[in-house]
Amino acid sequence: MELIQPVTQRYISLEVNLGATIAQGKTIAFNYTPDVQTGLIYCVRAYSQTDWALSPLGNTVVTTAGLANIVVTLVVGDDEEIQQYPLTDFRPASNSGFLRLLNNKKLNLVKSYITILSTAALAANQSVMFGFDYKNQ
Amino acid sequence: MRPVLNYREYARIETVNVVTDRNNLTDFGKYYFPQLPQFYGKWITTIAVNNTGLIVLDNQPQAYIVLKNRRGEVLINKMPIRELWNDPTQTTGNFGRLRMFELYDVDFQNSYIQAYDMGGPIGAPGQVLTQFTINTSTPK
Repeated sequence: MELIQPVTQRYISLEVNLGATIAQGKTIAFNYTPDVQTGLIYCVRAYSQTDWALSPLGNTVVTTAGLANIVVTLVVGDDEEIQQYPLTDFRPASNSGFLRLLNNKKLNLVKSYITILSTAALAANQSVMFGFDYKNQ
Repeated sequence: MRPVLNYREYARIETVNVVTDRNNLTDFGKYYFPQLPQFYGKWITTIAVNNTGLIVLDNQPQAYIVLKNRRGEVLINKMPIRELWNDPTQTTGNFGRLRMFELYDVDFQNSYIQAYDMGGPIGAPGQVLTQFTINTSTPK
């Protein structure tokens, strides 16, 4: 049987805060994170409040319903290789515990961003929590 | 040296407890693992959070784990313990899909779980906060 789950060599969580105002169509970029910027990403996870109540910075995490109203665009170089991908699909608990794999992408994190499709079930200053599995080159 | 990548085969299972102490009963308090030299120079291949009635934090979303190696490098940087909560009978946590790792030479003494948003002290001093089942594999 082929191994369909990743083997985590290194893992880092990243927080993207929605900001003081939320609006349909608003995009928010990831912060610069050296480990992710230089590593090869092979798995992405997203978490809701059910999985992770409060972010390390003390912000409330987006609910599962709210997560369904956000998509993510992941950029390699200047190329939007993962475009407008629904965050719900990156949430393990919405996928019977399965994880989504990437093909060792070297992400340009500061050009990667989330997009709010609808403000329903979202609130200002909530955060989306991501987990990235990566390996050093 | 890489571990033997057969994750369906347990080589050596250790049960590790993180215990509440008197000095760290605050939100965002860090709860360090005990010193576990049996993991020095070994590969960790699976980590599960156990589910028993005696444990304060098992499936709750109020804690994450940070694991470092003996060189001081952060290998796992804030992974929610709920992701590791492994109970095949539950449709939550990881749904029994055991999380797999390749972590070498983990320094548990400098690794910790961090709990928050508990609205006060967590458990009683001496109580098991979280219990992990950790598998190490034999190097090739």
